[in-house]
Amino acid sequence: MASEHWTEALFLRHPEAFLAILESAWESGERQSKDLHAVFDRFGVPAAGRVLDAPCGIGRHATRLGAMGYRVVGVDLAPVYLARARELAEQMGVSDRVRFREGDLRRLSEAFPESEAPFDAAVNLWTSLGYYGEAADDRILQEYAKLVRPGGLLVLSIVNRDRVVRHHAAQAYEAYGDFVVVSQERFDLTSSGMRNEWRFFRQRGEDLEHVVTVPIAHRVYSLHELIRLLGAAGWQVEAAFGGLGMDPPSVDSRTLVVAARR
Amino acid sequence: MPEDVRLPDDVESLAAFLREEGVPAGARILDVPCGIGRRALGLARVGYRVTAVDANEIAIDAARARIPDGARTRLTYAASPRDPLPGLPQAEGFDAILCLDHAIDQDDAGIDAGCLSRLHGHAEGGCPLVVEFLNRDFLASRPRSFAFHVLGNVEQHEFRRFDPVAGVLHLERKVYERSGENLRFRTQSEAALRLHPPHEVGQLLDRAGWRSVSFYGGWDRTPVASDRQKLVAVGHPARD
Repeated sequence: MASEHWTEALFLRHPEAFLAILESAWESGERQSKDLHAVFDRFGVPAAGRVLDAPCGIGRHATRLGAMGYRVVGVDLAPVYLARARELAEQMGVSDRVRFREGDLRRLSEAFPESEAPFDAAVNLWTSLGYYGEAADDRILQEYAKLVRPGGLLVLSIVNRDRVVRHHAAQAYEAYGDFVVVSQERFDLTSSGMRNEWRFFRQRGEDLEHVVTVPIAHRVYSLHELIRLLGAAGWQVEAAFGGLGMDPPSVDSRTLVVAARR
Repeated sequence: MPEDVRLPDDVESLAAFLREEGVPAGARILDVPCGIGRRALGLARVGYRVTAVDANEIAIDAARARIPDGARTRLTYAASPRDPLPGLPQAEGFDAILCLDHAIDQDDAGIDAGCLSRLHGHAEGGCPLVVEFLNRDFLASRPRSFAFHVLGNVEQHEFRRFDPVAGVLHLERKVYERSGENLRFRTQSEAALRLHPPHEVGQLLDRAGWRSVSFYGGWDRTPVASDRQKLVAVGHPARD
């Protein structure tokens, strides 16, 4: 168990805990997908274009983008989230335009048949980079580049290191349905790494019954680092924003959104 | 004789602050409200003659039970109803009066305007009134909605909400007992702390007859700044 990476503990061994968080974020996918649609329009992604959403979770963006007419493939590490994503796509009547595949970002191009590529655009949302270190991020960005056509777009949305420096909350308590997450965050300036501990509980009356404690460690990036990382992996950065709404980026932006062209 | 003791860092800093205010060991100090007397005890151990008062009789009983022999002659505890804190005979005079732990203008065990005025009657000479209070600007500019603390097998969750209209920090505390990694709920409590920027504390003191108020960012006399969690105000009795 000592060698288990935290993503395995969180997404594979105890998927139900993070599923509660994904479910609570479901509604936010509506607004964010509209914003993504506007980003796609601005950077010339065709109206019924092919979109890769990886990692896709329960498909809160993939299903909405499908409903807008895009042909979407969602990829995720966790079979539990993919099963839920298929169920939701079915309910929304978009199963013909949205498919889901199991896969690891580090080996993304192995996740599905070549006939589904190339894509007109790929998205990596909700801080889904930095989990395996900087060298792995370089490989992951190259994997996206293998799958997106020349001239195609990559949209990255990730927590802003500069905001973390100024504002990170050392401790937090969040309730998601009957799940409670009590988190303790530490930010290591020398490695630009978040070293967090998330304790998941189930509410049992007033008691909190422990489910799993996950040490969540991930690299966070400042904007200039993201631009360098993308450049090294074969992407040309077109624009950077302080959110999917395409506001200008600042040190106070919660998330950085970068649009890069292959 | 004063004991040769090592005090907790904050009490040591407070003692140094008092010496710099011209209040040497041996001087008479009134500490109100004193809670369980942690700092009153420390000051008595290094030679101050301390009278410590609180409205909470249970806290006073607990404090009395903890007086070490070496400090017994220099430390007096008294319980007094909140109105009229400090509840001491009019003739009793002091060389310094302490009001610590954000007790000023609070509802429960704290010090209201009437008490601040009555304290004036116990001030002898240039007797400073030393008030320690939470820095509203620190808390308002760093909204932190949650914190947890672990002490032994007890875990406390504190939920915080600052109401900028009323200037009140609402605290809701839940106490759990750790049982393995599970948390068994034990009790909860609520508190509402009125927070003041320094100028309001100055006005409160002024209305109660305390003048020439100085403000500091802590016992180390750093300047007031928004990144200091607690501030210190020192006033002196008006003589008119």
